[in-house]
Amino acid sequence: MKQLMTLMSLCLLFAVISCQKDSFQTKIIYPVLPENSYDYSPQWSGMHSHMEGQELGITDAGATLGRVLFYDQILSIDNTVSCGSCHSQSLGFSDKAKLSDGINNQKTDRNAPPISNLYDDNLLFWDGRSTSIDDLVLEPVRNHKEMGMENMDFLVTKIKAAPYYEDLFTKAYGSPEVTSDKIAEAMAQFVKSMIGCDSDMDRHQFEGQPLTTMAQQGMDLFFGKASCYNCHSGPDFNDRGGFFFDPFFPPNGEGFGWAQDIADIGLDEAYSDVGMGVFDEALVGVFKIPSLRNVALTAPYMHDGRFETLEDVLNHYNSGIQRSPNLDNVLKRWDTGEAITLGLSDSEKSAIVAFLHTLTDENYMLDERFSDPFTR
Amino acid sequence: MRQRNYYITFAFMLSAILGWSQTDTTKYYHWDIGISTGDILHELFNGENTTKKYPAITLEYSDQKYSVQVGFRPDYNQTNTTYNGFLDSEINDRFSISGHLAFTRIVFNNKNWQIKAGLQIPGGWSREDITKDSGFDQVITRRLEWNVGLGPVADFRFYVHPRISFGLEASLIYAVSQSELQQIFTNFPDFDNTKETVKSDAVAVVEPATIYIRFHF
Repeated sequence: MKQLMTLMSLCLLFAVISCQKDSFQTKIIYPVLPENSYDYSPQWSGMHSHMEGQELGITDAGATLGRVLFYDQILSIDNTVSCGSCHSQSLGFSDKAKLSDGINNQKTDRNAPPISNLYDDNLLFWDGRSTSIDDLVLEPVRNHKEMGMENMDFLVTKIKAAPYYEDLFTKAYGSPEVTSDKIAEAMAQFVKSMIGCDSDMDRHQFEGQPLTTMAQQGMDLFFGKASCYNCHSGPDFNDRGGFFFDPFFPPNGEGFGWAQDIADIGLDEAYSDVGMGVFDEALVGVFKIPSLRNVALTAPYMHDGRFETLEDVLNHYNSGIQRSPNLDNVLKRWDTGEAITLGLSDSEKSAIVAFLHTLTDENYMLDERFSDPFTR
Repeated sequence: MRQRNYYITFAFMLSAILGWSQTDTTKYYHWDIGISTGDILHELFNGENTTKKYPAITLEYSDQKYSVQVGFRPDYNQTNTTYNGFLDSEINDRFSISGHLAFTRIVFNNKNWQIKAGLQIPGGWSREDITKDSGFDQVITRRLEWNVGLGPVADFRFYVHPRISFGLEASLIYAVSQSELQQIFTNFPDFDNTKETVKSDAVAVVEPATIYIRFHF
């Protein structure tokens, strides 16, 4: 009996010793910022030249603060995820994963959309649930899968605890006081400043720089036989083309009305992710029409990242559109109401892909003003 | 030569067991201490698995009809991952302890075999910590769980020697359990919180998954 008690005591002692933990020491990583802040005033050019002279309410100090917040992992509950974790500059501020990694090894619900030229966008996220950038910027911070910072008081406390923010807030707002509104405003300033309109297509349109033969053929198809322009027009290729107001054949839904920059493109006959259908049954399967700027870098494509390549996307439009209940009218045959097929040959598809590559703004991907200031 | 030695050893053990089983005078031992062999074998032969398994230990007192048994199993596992750039480190740390109390009656008994049936009251507690050290703060995501149950148990034993037996147990347990998810912030303790508390109950069939080897004294 004595031996038995000794054995049991040893087992308990072993368990207790095994539970000892390492101590924790705080180590702050500081952002590396230029001596004089970058110039964040909008640099309008190319297809955004019509905005010349327009200001967006961005201050250099405000956007600098926003840049640090955008890349700071302490905005997530466990300090592991920043906005920049899923919006990588080298990928046009998108993510190469179908679904991004959030906190606690959770996956986000949808593919991370690229960020560029959002300054005048009033339909944000794949389901358009935000109508302003000020509203948009804190949504991923609060989201329980993405960054998990549901308590804004905690966010403010953490920002106050990081020593580098005192100076940044003072420069941006004249006072070191931190509030969630100021955090949102500074991040919104940074996101609004993310403008890139220096692609081959911009130079082609406004400086007359010729495209390659193949890209030119792709452009003709884009605005012609393939009718991509129906949903991808405007300076960012995310506006409805043709008539904006069509009493006889509205692009989306029945009856006549204003065409919205949203569409059900027939990805599935029935959707597991209903998109804007959470707001209205008539919008099941309807998602925001994404910008095509830098599209060659933002794979995978669609709200769920189902298409790995641009060729896959074109194959969908060419012959893979499903007859979903709310299929966009521009993707239906006018006589039978069935899904259209485009009848593009392989060389025509290659030409369209070549054209889509002309929408890449290489300088945007290298612009230091938008780069990660934390060297980890 | 080596093979021959194995045969001789085997034959010796067999004759010893058979020889014992034919003797008429059996001394009855009231106490026994047991250990689950499956977990030991898992540790010995499943080297690639980083999850350590710890054996359960039982202690039992029996008279000619009734037995009372207590058992417990400690469990501790830790993995430490160091990252480049993303986090300084992530430590996964799990500690649990479970035990049971059983009251049984001998329903069958002969020289080699013994079957007991009765009531078992198992319970357990576990704590799993995922500690993320980013330098700015150390965040612990803690899962706390406990459960307690009650149900019939059957215990089958085979004696290879008056002092040594092998046994299997099966039971049907109604258990209630509670699970809590907590977040603990080393530098911001004011914001420690309990994310969720889940209470549940279920009937579980506990199949005979391991062989207990028991020493009777």
